[in-house]
Amino acid sequence: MVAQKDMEDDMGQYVINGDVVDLQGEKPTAADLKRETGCPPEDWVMATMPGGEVQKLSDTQPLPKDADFSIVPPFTYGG
Amino acid sequence: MAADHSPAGRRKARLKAEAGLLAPRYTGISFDQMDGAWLHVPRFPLPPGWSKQEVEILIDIPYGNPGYPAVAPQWFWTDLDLRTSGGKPINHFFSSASSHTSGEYLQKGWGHFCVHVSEWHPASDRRIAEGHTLQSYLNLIATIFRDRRTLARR
Repeated sequence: MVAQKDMEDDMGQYVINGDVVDLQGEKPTAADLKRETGCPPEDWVMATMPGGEVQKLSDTQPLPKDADFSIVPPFTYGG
Repeated sequence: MAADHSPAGRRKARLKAEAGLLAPRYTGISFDQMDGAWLHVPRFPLPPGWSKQEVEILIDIPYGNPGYPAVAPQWFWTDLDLRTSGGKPINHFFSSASSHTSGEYLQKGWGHFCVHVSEWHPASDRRIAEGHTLQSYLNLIATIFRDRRTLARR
């Protein structure tokens, strides 16, 4: 299994990085997701949008609908 | 046999523990039991948009002092002939010799992705899952492969 959201239903259940995560509230944010997973707080929540664009979400951003998610250490591209 | 408390011994013990945690997700995973300098994933699935459905991944494990896990992996290797599904080469991917790359690895069919982890906070060996691990790094690799708009060379 790779880092991705495999499932999302009306109950706010997500699979992030291969693990199922339940999120409460109408508009859970990236910070909510990080708190729930217990990842290091500086980690990034990355959303892959339906069109294929990958976005880094700020902590206060609601999780966009129909996106795939992963949580990763902060990084930069080199070269 | 007495435990090896040298830096290399501790690194190899950590790799063994992490490989055990990764094994259920990544079939056939192995690591360098001699020096603790690499971890190999023989079948890493790719999302749509690439010339292959899966690739091999070789992660260079920092083996200096300090080494892994205090220091994050600095780069990873994958199939040298990987392209986008449109047959294009890839940004931030090196398939020829450079100051960063190992000629030996290139000859063995590996290309090198240049991605730098900027923050890395591993937990102690007794609480591995509470900090960054090689699973964190593999999650990053998976995310990179999803970022085709950045990687597709214009």
